Amino acid sequence: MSSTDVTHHAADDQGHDHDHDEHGPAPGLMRWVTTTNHKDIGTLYLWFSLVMFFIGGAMALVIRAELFQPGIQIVDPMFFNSMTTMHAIVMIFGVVMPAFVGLANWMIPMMIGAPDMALPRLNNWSFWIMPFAFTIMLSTLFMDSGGPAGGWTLYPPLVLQMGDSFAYVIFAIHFLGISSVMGSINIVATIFNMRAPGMTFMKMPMFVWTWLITAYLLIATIPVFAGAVTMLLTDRFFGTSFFSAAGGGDPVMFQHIFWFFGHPEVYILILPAFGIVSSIIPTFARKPLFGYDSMVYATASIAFLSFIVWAHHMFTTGMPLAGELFFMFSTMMISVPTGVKVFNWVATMWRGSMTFETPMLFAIGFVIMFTVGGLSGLMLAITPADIQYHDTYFVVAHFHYVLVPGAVYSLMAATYYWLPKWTGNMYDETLGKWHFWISTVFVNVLFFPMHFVGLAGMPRRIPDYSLQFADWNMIATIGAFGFGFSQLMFVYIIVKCVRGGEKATSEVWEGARGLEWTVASPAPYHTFETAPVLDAGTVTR
Amino acid sequence: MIEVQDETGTTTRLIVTANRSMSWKANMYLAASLGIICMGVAIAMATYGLWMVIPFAGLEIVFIVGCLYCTLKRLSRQEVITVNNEAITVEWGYNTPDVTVNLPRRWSRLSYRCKDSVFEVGELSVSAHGKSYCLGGCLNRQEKKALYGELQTALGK
Repeated sequence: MSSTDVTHHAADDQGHDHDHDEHGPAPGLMRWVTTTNHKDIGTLYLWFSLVMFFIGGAMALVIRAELFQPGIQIVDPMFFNSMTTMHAIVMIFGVVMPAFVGLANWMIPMMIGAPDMALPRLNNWSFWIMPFAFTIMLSTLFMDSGGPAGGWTLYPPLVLQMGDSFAYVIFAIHFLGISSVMGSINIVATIFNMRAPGMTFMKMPMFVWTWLITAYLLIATIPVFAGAVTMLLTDRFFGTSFFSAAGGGDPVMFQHIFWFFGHPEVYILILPAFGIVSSIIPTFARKPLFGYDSMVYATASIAFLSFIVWAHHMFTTGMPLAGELFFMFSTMMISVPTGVKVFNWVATMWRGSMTFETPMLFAIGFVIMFTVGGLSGLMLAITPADIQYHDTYFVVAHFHYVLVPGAVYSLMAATYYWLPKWTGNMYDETLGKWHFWISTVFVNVLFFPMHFVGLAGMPRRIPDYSLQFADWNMIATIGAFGFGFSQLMFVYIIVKCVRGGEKATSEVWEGARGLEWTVASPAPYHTFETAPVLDAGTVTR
Repeated sequence: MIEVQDETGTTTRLIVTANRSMSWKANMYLAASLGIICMGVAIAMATYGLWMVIPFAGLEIVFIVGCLYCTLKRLSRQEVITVNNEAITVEWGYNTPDVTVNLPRRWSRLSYRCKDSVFEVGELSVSAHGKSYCLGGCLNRQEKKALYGELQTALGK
């Protein structure tokens, strides 16, 4: 053979596929529409959830403004009910979940040494479905019949009495479910197939572990929710009677099916937060995470138990004594692996060389206040007590302590922790600390009094209340506005950091460990295009 | 990953694949485990009359299998380099080659260049008659060096 001979068997070139942008971001706005880069998509998710945080927060302020004093003050009761319903849907599906998916997009490939997510185009779709779905969902507020007002739990028969917006809401929920499933499958495929050589399962950072387990929860529960809302739809429009007693159906059955999805959903909202806190505390305590293995098993145990506790949300609907006992004890059992986690975080800090930068402050705030929410959850697990607390503000206080100083604080901690890696600039530490302390004061002013009015019997989802609850409600409303407006500081700090600031090093934090800290700050558009090799001594968690 | 097959003593075959942390078989078990969880839940629901969960669970399982298949297929792309007395043959493809390049062995030149930076993986190429082809595009720095060594050994025979 005397010359080079090239044969093209198919319309493809040498060994490269073009599923991700080859040379860097495309110019202009279309970059964000067409991108398949995991960092771009992570950024989109995070900005989207921040915008939704303010939309959902504005709804919360409407609720609190109405509750500032007893009597109907500002909005009519129907709109108030729409606000409570939409506030929950926006905060759960539009803020906390997308923010965690955004963090997963940004961080998981870098943490496991993968060049991108396993299915980059699917990743783009999973994001862009969400603004579409939320546009439909929020637009129902402007319909003649108003938005959904039966609570985010969509219980029949009340929800079947909704106006024209019902079908739109179900449609939007389906799309949000599709987005979640696509994101989860992508995460599972990425973690299983694209780990760098040497990155064994027990070397994966806790954030990756918690997300893997969360993805399993989503995959297992989303079809149940999709089926449930579709049955509501057919009950309303196609004459079926799944949940209609008049036709031989059972409305309580919907509560079972909803909470079979809904309770794991609660853990979907908190497990990634555990992963974030498990990354941050070792960094600022300058010690490895205490009891890594037990953390992994505790996370898996919590996920398993989350499937067998659902009926603790519905003790008052009536169930056999054996059922009440089973769900009470299984719920209490969750406190064991959760306690393991709290113990391990505290043990990690014990005698550590601690410093208190903003991410650490938010992480410690998370540990303390999430535990407050966990303890009130234990109270609610006790069946006879729950029958008294059910549908009171005590429940509102409980889940807000878990979700705001719990999940939302973990998101803020994560943002401060990884922001220098994303932008290449350090954020303003002084402002960050102010943000933490102002938020922490107001979040407790907002939610702690709810325990008192709840124990005194104030019902939730009611725009009016008895005079004896007036003082604590006034205080809670002051806390709400204080907390809400203090979040403008958060936006300011982020924007200031994106625009410039002291340059961050690759490692950023002295005690940081893991592959994401080995790449430059800001992280290059493409990282780990060829897999790094980890030997036995490489610290990845 | 590099797999070396010394076939006859005069012919060496090197199979280069991208990093893949789980095998096809293990992925099948993964899909099966997810399928059992989803369908188990759906069937349990159906026994209480809530059969409408089944189609959604079924669709999800199909989607999971499809996604895992696409992921594995993308990660299964191979570069097969065959060195014999006459030629160096490089093939790129999945199960069958998409592109094949034949270079005369005696006119071919192997080169490896790498900047002194931890972020550089280096460039390994083979060239002949003014045309150059990159090899081991999916490999990291250590693996590329190893491939360079293997090719030098094969060409030295």
